[in-house]
Amino acid sequence: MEYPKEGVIWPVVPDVAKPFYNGMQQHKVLIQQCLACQTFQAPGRITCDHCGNNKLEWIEAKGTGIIYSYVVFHRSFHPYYDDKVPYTVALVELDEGPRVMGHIETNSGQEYSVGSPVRACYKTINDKNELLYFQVLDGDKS
Amino acid sequence: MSRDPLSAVIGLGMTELRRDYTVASWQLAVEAIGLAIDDAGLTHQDIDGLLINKSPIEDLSALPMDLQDYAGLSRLNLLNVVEAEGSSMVQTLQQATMAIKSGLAKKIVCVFADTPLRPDISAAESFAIAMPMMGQLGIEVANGFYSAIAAYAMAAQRYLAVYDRTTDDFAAVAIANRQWAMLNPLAKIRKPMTLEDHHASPWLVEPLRMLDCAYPVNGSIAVVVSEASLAKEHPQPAAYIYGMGQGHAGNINRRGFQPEIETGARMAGETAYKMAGITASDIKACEFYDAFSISTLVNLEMYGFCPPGQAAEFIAEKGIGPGGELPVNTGGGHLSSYYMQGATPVSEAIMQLRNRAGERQLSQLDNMLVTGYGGRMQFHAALIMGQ
Ligand SMILES: [Zn+2]
Repeated sequence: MEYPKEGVIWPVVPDVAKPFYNGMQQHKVLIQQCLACQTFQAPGRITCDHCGNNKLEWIEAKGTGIIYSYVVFHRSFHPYYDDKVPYTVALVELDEGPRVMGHIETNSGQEYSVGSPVRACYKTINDKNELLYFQVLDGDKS
Repeated sequence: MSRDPLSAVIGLGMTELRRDYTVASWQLAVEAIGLAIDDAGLTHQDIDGLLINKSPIEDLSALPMDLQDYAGLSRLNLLNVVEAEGSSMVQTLQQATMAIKSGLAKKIVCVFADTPLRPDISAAESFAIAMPMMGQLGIEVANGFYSAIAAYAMAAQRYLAVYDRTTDDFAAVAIANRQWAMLNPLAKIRKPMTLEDHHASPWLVEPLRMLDCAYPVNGSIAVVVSEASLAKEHPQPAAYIYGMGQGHAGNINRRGFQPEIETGARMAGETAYKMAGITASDIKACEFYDAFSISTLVNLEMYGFCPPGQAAEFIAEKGIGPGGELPVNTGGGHLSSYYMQGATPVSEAIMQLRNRAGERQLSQLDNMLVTGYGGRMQFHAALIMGQ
């Protein structure tokens, strides 16, 4: 697949995911909740992955969670990242349960691992898009 | 054994597997198809089915339905491009078996071809796609989350944390693969590997190192699947299929689910074992799809050889390399032999079942487990094969 060589690639956002991206623009983490069984859903779904119901509601998550898993890119796969390796991308399990993806950033000296608590933050990409990332919080691992 | 096989593989064709580009995938596929038909002692006129496994990283035009015409097959009662990502090759053998059992076709060619190494693009670039981890959300590219390696690294990190393991578990898999590769003239990397070599191997996407990743090649592999009752009429010993299964457990991305390390392979195995009338303890050897070292650990666990998190202990106690109690990926697997996706385990299984595996030949192969998976270990297909 060919990607543009300049800047961060911003996805072509499908309609079902637009509320999440609009939420990021306003510095909110939006997830979904099933109106039938109340199960919280990772964003961008049209049915509940627990009961199959198709009535889902967008709600704002608290924006805190823990690192479910993470990887450290030591190799750049796109020119934008050539001078940014190593960088860390995590799946963060929000307090409500759903998992979302974002970079992990730390204050100097902070360590982290799977289970470390994190908080949603945002950075401006390509001068116009707000992108969710996660800052490691001080405190015990859960 | 007295049980009846479902079908038989009677032909195997492999092009040269190369680290440089020569011709397009469809041309390689035509060559492999011809070799497989010759190997089965058949002619093109005998073939009445063609099932095509296109590489997920290539466009549909790379191996189109027209491959029928390019290969000179004009009497087909069955023709399909089977798209199930890395599980496709095993699924083509399953579909061929179903077609034979239903009477739709009798002599079916299944073919895979890929050319990740191109004059203008490296294999690393070919595989540097953003893996869909987040469904329709599409946020992976914005996060620079490129390459299949990254998706498997995510599974690997989760595995290490949940089970309190170290990357030496990955080394145990890579080293066993390499020991097998040293016995396989077709394998591409045959120099000895030590734990120190693994430690010194550079991180690509941590916690996966270069030595944890598949070794890409250009090439094509084809097989001919036939009715089991007629299999003895052909020049090569038949490799029989006794059971098959699939498992697609979904990617439920929220608390309570760990699709990265608790996979649909469990379902695929249970169905396949039941169909063959066996359990995991009857399996004499495994040919896993193993594009990354982590996946062999998860496969050993999900296919029922040991409890979750204990694959490395299983490897240390029983052994999966030459001389081990459960030989796994006996040609060197994807890591050290050749990455022909699902066709790698299928081809090695057939060579073993024909007693044509030379120095690495196993004995008493009444039940071999042969598997494929696709995506981020999401889509699983398994065969129970035997002599
Ligand atoms: Zn529901």
